[in-house]
Amino acid sequence: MAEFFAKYSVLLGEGILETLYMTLVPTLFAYLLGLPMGVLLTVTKAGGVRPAPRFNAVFGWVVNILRSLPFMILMIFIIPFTRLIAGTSIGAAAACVPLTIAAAPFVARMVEQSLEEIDAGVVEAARCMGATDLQIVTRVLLVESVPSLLRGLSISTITLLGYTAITGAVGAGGLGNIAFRFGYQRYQDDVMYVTVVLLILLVCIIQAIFNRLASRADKRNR
Amino acid sequence: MKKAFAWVLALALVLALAGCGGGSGYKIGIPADATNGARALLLLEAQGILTMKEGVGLAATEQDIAENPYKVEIVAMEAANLPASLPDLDLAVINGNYASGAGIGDSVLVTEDAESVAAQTYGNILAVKRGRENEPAIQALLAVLMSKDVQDWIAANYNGIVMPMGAQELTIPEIGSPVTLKVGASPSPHAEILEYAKPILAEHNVTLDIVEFDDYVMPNTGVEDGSLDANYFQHQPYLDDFNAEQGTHIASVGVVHYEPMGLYPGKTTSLDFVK
Repeated sequence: MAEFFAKYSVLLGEGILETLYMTLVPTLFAYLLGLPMGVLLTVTKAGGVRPAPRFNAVFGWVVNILRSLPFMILMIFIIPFTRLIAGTSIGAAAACVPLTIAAAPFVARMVEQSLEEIDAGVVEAARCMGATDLQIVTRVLLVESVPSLLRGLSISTITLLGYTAITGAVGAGGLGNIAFRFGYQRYQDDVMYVTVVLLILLVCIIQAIFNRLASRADKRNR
Repeated sequence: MKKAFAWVLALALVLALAGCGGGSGYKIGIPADATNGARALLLLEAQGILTMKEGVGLAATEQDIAENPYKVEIVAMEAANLPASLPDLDLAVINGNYASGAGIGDSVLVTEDAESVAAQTYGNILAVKRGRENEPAIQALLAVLMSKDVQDWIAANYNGIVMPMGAQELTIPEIGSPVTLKVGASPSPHAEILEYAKPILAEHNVTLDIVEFDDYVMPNTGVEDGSLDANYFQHQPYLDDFNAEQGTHIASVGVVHYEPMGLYPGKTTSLDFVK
């Protein structure tokens, strides 16, 4: 046991940091991109706040196409773009670029789903009180759906955590990559079990944090 | 709520900045998979770039680096992705087939040599059913494949992706009546090398019948059941596994060529930094 940790503690410590880094940074940027995309998808829908069915159909297609690309292919495909943004195509910082691009359309759909849940009556009431379209979005839709958005955020974060296992292909490291390279490929079962347990702990912690935030934000619990 | 958001934003910014501070020193890309990664590290050791712990051999990982005098940073990544990543690396150790596929085969700085553990272990062998190793026709085939003529031809024709193990002067036994040898081989380079050896063998009364295979099982089962006299497509570790798993009795007669990994230039274009 002591021997194991003497040999692998540095590797595993780096792995945890890399995994957290590649999960949290892309989640933030994916929401910066995906939140407006989700709002756009919702408000332009037929029967939405500002319907534009044709735009909605085209935009929906774009989101679908981005979501259908296998992450591994997307990551290799956009290497020149990654280099442009991050200055390099290898390592954890560079991996954040494809992770963000892969997660943004996913986030857009999560946001869309959360906003759809808002009762049409609430929007109607806001409109009767003279709210503009922008006010309906920022003061009604986004505010009313905060608990649902937070639960979506937890799903997105954990999905991104899963993606980080693949970024080992561009030398980004991370726990999933350690489990694959040292545990699976070299038959070091102890390394695999420890990394898997660490990943389970990370997922549980992330889920617990968001559960608390969501229930605190939920009006029904006040 | 706003406070929590501010916290998250601050954390992400700190993390983003932390990620940008890249280390100094040379970045060298190697394949992430077990065998190729180890071969890459041994090649770097052979160039004096770093030293590995004693006795790790082909089980080496970047965890087994003993001394790293030039402070190189080893970046292990998908083998097929290394050529595309060269602009972001100082150097990379790449398998010949991937380098050639990416069109950078000519820029190689150094490759594994024929004496390296990797070449000795993963050199491609001529194999026959156990007990037939000393048949004159088999010995004639081996002698021709190892002759200076054929070995030089291999060196000249594959742009460094396929390398000869080195010529050996073996005597070609006298063969009285004509013999036909049926040899199973992978299309490239194995069948091509045999094709080159064919007219030379014909002068010694041996007719070569080359059968091309796209899979790695049939040529061995063929040798085992006698429908093939020999095969030439695999390396020793693969044959050992095959014999163990399938209960076959196939033995190597000799190592003919190897497919080396090479060190390719990225941002650093020479090995001059190694004193």
